[in-house]
Amino acid sequence: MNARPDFGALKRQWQSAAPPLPDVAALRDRVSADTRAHWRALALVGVMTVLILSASLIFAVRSTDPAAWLSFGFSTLFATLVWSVALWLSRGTWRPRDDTISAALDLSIRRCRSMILAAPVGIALYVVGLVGSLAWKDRLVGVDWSSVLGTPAMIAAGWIGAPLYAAGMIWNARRQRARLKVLQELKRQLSES
Amino acid sequence: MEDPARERRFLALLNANLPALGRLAGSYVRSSAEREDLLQDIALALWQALPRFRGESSERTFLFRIAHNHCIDHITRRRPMASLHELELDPPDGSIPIETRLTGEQDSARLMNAVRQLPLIQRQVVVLALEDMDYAEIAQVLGITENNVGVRLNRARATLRKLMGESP
Repeated sequence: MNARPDFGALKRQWQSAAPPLPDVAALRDRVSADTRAHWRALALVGVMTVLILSASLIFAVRSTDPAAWLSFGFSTLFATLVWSVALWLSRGTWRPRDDTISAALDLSIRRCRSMILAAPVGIALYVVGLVGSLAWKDRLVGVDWSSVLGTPAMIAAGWIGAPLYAAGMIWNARRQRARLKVLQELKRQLSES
Repeated sequence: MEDPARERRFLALLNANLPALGRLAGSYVRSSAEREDLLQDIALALWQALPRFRGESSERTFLFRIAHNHCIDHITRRRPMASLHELELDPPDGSIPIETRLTGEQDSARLMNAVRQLPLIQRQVVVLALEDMDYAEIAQVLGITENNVGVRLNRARATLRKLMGESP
């Protein structure tokens, strides 16, 4: 039994509606949207870095404690490390080499790989930042590190922030891994056709 | 992908049905980026489910069942539907039958818009019927009886006519 013979015209219309590879063709839109999001995120992190370093510098200038300058130095070093790693992870992910579907696909694959790698690296940097701030307090300011563990800042950034950050990064990496698998299949299909 | 036979089967099934899957996804989501995500989810689910296929139905029915489950899952998890205003159609001309009016790409888009506005249970049946599935196949995909398919399809056609501006 056919699903209503007078559906014929609608069926023909419906079946002529989609392009042969709708998901691949949509990649360009996706790449453009990703690029815009990428630049917005970069601008946000840039502003945050400038604000943190400015605050640290103003504190050092106004303080008579030499440790304040050390704090500014370490903050600058850490920011440089984070930015270097982030730029290294972002290599080749800024824009497609040209306007072809294949270039958009390659760029999406590179972005997926970059975000997958960003998970362990980001978590490691977060931990380094936390341990570094504890060590700085302990060695340079003379505050016992164990007494810092219960402070509101450490509870927010360490006990709550760190697991949340790690969970978010791992979730995103898993999502990107699934996406990468499909993108690689699409690339294979494209190269075969 | 370590299993070449599974890979060949996967690619053959996906390639043969990609346009239909694109239309199916397009009937649930509006933006191309969201459609791409949905299609990729469906492709991944197919890859994972393929070893469980035992031939109780056709591969196409199997694929559409997976696709439909994912579409339903997707729309139940996503943000609230776009406003009705966004989905509104152009003022219809009720004096001309649908079949005559529907010519050209613009009308394909109107049909897609109208299908998107159907209630979910009617949309499911119409999309499958428009993909040339018979009652038995639609019943298998959706897990309902063939009689139920007929009832839903009749209602869906009536709603579709209203949405397209044709009197019932």
